[in-house]
Amino acid sequence: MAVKARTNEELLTPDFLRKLEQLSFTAKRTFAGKTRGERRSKRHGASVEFADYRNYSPGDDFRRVDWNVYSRLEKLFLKLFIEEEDLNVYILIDASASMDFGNPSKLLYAKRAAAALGQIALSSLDRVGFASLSGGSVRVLPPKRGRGSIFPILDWIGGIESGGTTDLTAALQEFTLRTRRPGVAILISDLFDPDYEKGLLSLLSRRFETSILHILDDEEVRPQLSGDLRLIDSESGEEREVSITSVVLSQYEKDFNDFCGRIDGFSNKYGINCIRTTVSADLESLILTSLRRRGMVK
Amino acid sequence: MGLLTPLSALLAVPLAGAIIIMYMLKLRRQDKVVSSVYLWRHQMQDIQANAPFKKLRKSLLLFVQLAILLIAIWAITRPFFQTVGVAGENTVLIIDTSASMKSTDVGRSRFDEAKRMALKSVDSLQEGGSMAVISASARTRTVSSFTPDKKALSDAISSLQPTDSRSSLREALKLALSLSAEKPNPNITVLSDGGFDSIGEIDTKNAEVRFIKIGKNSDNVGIIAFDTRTSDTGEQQIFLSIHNFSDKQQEFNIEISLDGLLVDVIEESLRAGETKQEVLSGLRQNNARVTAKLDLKDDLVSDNTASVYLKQPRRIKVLLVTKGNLFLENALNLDPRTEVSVADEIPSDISEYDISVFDRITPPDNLPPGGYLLIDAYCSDAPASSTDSLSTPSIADWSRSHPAAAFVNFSSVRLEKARKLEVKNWGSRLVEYEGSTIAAAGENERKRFIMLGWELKRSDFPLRVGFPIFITNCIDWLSGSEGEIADTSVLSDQPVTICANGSKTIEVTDPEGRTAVLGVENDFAVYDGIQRVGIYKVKRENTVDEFAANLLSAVESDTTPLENLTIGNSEVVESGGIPIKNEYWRIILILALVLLTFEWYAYHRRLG
Repeated sequence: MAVKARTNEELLTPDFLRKLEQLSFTAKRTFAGKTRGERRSKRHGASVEFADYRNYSPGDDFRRVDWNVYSRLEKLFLKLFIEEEDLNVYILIDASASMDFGNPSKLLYAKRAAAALGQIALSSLDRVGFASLSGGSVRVLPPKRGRGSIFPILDWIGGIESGGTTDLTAALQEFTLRTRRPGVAILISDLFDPDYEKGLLSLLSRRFETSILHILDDEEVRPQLSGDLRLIDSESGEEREVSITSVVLSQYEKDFNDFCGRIDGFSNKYGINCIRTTVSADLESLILTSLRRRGMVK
Repeated sequence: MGLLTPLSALLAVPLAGAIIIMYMLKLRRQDKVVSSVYLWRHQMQDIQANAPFKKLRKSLLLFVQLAILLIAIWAITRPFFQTVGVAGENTVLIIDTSASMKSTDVGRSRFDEAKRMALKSVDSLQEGGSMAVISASARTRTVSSFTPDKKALSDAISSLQPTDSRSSLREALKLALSLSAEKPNPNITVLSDGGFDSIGEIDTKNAEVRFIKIGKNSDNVGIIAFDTRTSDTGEQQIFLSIHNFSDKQQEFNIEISLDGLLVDVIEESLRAGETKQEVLSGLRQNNARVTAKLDLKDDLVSDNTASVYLKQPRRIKVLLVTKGNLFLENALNLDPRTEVSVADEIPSDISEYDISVFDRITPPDNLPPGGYLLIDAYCSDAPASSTDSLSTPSIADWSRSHPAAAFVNFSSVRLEKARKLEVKNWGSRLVEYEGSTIAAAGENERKRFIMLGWELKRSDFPLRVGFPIFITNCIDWLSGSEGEIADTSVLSDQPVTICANGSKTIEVTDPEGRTAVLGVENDFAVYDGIQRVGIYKVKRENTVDEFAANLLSAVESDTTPLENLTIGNSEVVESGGIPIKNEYWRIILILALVLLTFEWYAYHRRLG
């Protein structure tokens, strides 16, 4: 079901926008940025912060020779300093058909979260790019920088339409291939893909600092179903007959807990920050409080 | 085995078809689009994994429901299995309760066996059927009229007790035919050992009569006669007759008791089928009870004991009021029992005399109770009043049944003159002449009268042989109404007449201690509650008497079971029972209920 185009005001309220300006992403690792930003870069530049030594090579600047080391070792070493550069933040939005469920729909919630995260990145002079994942393919909005970029970003986000199946592996692999500079990747998805782990591993293998915003509908957490039903998968159209009884619901709850537990276990294993929420949860509270508490933003 | 309504089985076809069609229709499920069936995959995997079992469970429910349907259809067809029983659609059950049914050759007794069969027949009473129960003994009684109520029938049968009386199956059959006259296909079933008198001819109409023989063999010796008599010398003699109804020789003792004290033991040996008499003499006790008891174990106990009473011939005080009649006086003195007092005037008190003879002297009014022979004497108490005088009447007829006229031929008696008597309604004609009564008899208010309407001297009656016989008859009859029980030993099914002697009530206590209070009418009461042999106590206001009830019936003592029933010229062969259709649809429905419970369990297990 296509998500209706929403106005920028519906994705983020002005008041929320202002609050988001105070936040910035935290990155555990340093990434090579394109321009000077407000965060540490892996490249060594002319800042005041000492980073490392290297051997002197003819032609290097004598002013950077550490004479204390020379006096001790009688060898010439150059001091390296950390150069502050901008961070690439990639917001990956699962736009498969299964995201178009809930009230409000998970996709809308994901869009709003993506917009919020985008605003945080832009406010802290980071580059933020977006990708819409659906049906195994990726539609990318290249990273943008600067506060003024929020409007095209919101337009792009608002134009995301749901459809297709959830094939995170193919989509994430394609994304990693297309993205040259790694950074912080935040996957916003319901993870209804049995092979999501492969997709995440492909991100990790490209050294993306990966986080997951796991969005679910309340109906998926605790289904209010009963009777003899024919369940139709919104993505594949697959039909399954099931007679809902208390025993069946108990089993579903167990399976759901196993599902979440598996995600948490994988996340813990690979250092992925996984935040789980439902569409009924307040987004502002999620961004301003939960993400902060989890160290994703500061 | 069979089916009472087999066509009902055709219902199975449409109903089973409907069930199968309903199963073939897919269960309508509500469509529900979900974001993903990913989280439901395990549920559906389990279901899919068990799909074959699920199909099997579906099939199991279908099978169970079809089974329930078929079982219900089976019940509707009213299946039955055939047995032999006693009850048909409309059955009159005649249960023999006579003495011979107390024989112990079958179980505890033949009567218990008959009761058991009767109760079983009530259980097997068909749906829509009804039954009546009659007990056949000396008195036939409807124990239960036609009813389908099994409990009422069972209660009625259970309340029956055997008696020590003879049985009259003829009366029972007639009653049964009367009860079942309006019933369709009536069936009369007789549960008996056949110990009854000949039935004779009876029109059984459309009723089917069946005979169920109760009893196996006869192993019985019984007292068939027991009586006393007084010899001319006043000696009491006891006459005892016993018969061996068994098929083997029996050796036993006969114990003779006098008022409960053993006085003699006679060793006895009887071949099969033999009858023996014993005469016991030398007994002079007055009013003593003599009991004979056969000391042996046989099938029937009721005929092993009998009692009679020794009666000293009592003296009969006779008052003869006459101006002189030697013939009459001699005739009265001929009877050794009499003490004759002759007077030419009526004494002031004649109540002390048993019999008062008034020869041409008018008796006073308001005579006291007693016997009165009025010879050409008339009074207001007499059974007749005199009217015209008849000259030389020749006797045309007389009452040959009256005890006074027994063995007396009045036809040769010549009369010079006689009075025509107007007989009162309580009197009876004794001798007649051309339609006129010249001699009468009667009994009223404890007074008995013989009345001759002629003067003896004006006839040749005193010269006839019949005259002393007539006088003796008069003495017998006129003296018999005084203060005693009519019979001191009776057969165990006879009513007993008891003189109240002025008592307003009479209590009779049977051998089992049950007391009945009898109503008195005209100073007499009749007790007809004799059901057992033994000694019965009679209590009036001032006196206590007793009498003995004995079986003394060769028919009842002969406990050989009858093979067939003979009604007139027809024989009803012992059937052993009638075919009974025992329906068992109830058991089938219980089975259906069990399957229904299982189906409920299986269905909920599927949901679970």
